[in-house]
Amino acid sequence: MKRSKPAPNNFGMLHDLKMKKEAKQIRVQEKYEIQGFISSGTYGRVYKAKAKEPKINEHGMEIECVYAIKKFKPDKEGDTHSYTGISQSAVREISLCKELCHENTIRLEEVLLEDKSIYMVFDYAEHDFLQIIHHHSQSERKPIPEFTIKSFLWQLLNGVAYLHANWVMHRDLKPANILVTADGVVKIGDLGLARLFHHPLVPLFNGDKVVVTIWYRAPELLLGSKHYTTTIDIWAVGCIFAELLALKPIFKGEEAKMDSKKNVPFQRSQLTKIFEVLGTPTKERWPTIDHQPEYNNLNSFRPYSNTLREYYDRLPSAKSEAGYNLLTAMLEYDPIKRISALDALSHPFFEEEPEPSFGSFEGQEFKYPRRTVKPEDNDIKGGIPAISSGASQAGVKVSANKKEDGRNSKRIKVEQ
Amino acid sequence: MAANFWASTHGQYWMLDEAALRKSRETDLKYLKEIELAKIRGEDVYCFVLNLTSWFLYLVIAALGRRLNVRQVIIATAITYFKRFYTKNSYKNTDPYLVAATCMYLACKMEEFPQHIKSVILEMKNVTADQGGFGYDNQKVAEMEFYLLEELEFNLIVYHPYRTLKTLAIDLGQKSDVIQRAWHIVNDLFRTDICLVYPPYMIAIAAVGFVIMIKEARANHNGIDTRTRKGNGSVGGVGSGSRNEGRGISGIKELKQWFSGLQVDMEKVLEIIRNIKNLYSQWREVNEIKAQDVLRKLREAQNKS
Repeated sequence: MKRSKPAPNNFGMLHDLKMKKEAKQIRVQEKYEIQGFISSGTYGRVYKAKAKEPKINEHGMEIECVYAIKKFKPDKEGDTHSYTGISQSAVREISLCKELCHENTIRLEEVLLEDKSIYMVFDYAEHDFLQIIHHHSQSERKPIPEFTIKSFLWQLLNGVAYLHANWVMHRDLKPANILVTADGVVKIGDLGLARLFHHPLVPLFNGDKVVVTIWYRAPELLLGSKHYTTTIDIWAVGCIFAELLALKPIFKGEEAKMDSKKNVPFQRSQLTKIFEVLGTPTKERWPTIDHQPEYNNLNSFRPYSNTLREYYDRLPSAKSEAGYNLLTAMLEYDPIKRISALDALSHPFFEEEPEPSFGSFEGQEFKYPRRTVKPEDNDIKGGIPAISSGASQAGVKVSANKKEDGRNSKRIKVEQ
Repeated sequence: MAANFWASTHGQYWMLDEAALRKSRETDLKYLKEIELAKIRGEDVYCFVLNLTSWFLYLVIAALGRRLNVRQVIIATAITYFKRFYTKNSYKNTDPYLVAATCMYLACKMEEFPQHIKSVILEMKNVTADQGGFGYDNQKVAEMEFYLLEELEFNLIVYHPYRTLKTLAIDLGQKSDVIQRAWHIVNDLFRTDICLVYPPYMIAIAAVGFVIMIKEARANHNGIDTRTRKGNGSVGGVGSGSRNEGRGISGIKELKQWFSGLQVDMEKVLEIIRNIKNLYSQWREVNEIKAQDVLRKLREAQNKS
């Protein structure tokens, strides 16, 4: 059958959708009062905001709703700034946060699209592990109370167990991403790297060549493993547990940077830091270690012995033998032998006094400082189209609460 | 969520009933009459025309997926997005080709197989070359993506029957042809709106049940249902090469026993099986050329308004 001349098809189709959207759209500025700037990263910026309409609770009382609004910067295409839609990391974070519902994961209130920007509105959390660790190491100069550490760790594992039970790998657990409410409830945040892992269509390696901030990166990743499992999150939790005890990262290596051809470099420094504490991994400790792509590189290391025991005993707040056992179970070289989040939750450490609680700060006589919120730097403007080109975002990499050790710049992500 | 279908956004917000679906088509039914598209009267005819159109658009999306070399799961996700979008919008007011391309673009990102926006556009141009083409650029597809996300209420994780089929395959063993045939039936079912109405695991089970029924019928009558066999030769592979496999009655008995032991609402499963039968009985009536014509007229009418 002969068909007639093709019909031109740039009708006002988008116009209709635009009208529909505009008719019901609530602009960010109409609904939220932006109180200031919290932080920024490769994805964009985070602001603290208050709902203009307070919510009413079941007793008819007004409750003030405070949120952290994450504004993604638009995905740019090379130099042309031609717009290519929502970034994959935003798709991941939005899709997962829409599904997740757990006491120990951050709650997503809503997503707003305005002009070319995406706004994710999260519940606000006053603290995070990094800020609390810093408060103790810099201002307080005292270890974090045992009860608080145990409550933090238990809740973190509780959230991780939920994620893993739902086939979600976080892939970027680190103190800065573990939020804590003013009441001491732990909320796992930043799922920008997280993904579902059942039946992945391509090896995980193909999606993101590098995952997890270097200090928290599991040995199998450092040795080039292309298929990895949820155990990489547990390694990170182990590192975070040690950091809560020591108030400094347990394995503070230097990241070897990617070369111009984007080859993933061998992370000698980071592995050295791990070996210095845990000893050189052997075939006895990790039977399949010789299958790791970077295995041959291990010959060039001098032998180290396991000094985790000494490391632990030196820590002022680490007194529990069960705590040491749990730490070793999480920092197990062999991913197969590494403890699961679920098993960790029922570890004897959590049955010992003091038992963990959702109120991590109960009985504490001091208060942690509130999150720094800078009043300036607001690029969410009512009515005026939000940033759509790179020029106005030049300042985005300057982080407001960037710490002196440059942690915030440690996250590197490569997407194909 | 992911571990429990009923706790997911798919289970909570996107299981629609037939009545809601029918309602979502009202605008288009009215419109088809207005532009006297089918030159015939009667609600059923218009419904049929609409079904035809969505069938054709399935083929467009599947063809786009194949050109992009994506897996069936991604095609299924794109089609589900597409169908969800059209429960809230009409063909009258939106260009289904633009929506289709955008659904594919978003589904690829969601299923961790990202494609460049330009490749999606290029392949869509190829797929639609003889149907009026595809005149949108990056900007338009990206803009459409925003509208699509809102219409989907940002619920992007979609469950598909394939996962259940893989689980059932463990029971039936690697050599079983039942799963493979059910797999093809599940693919075919994306031509219908079944994915909007029934939970994916039930669709999977129904597809398996249908295969077992066909096997049984064949064994009983030493032949097969001729209607199914002649229809376009596709029919989810049900008709092909199964006569000489030497599976006795006992095999079917075992299968039936296993099947009735599945913990699932069998009434619903039978409903889906009826839908599968309908699908295959319509197979010959559905004509691509006819569907293309309908779509072209729709788009021309859009262009005039």
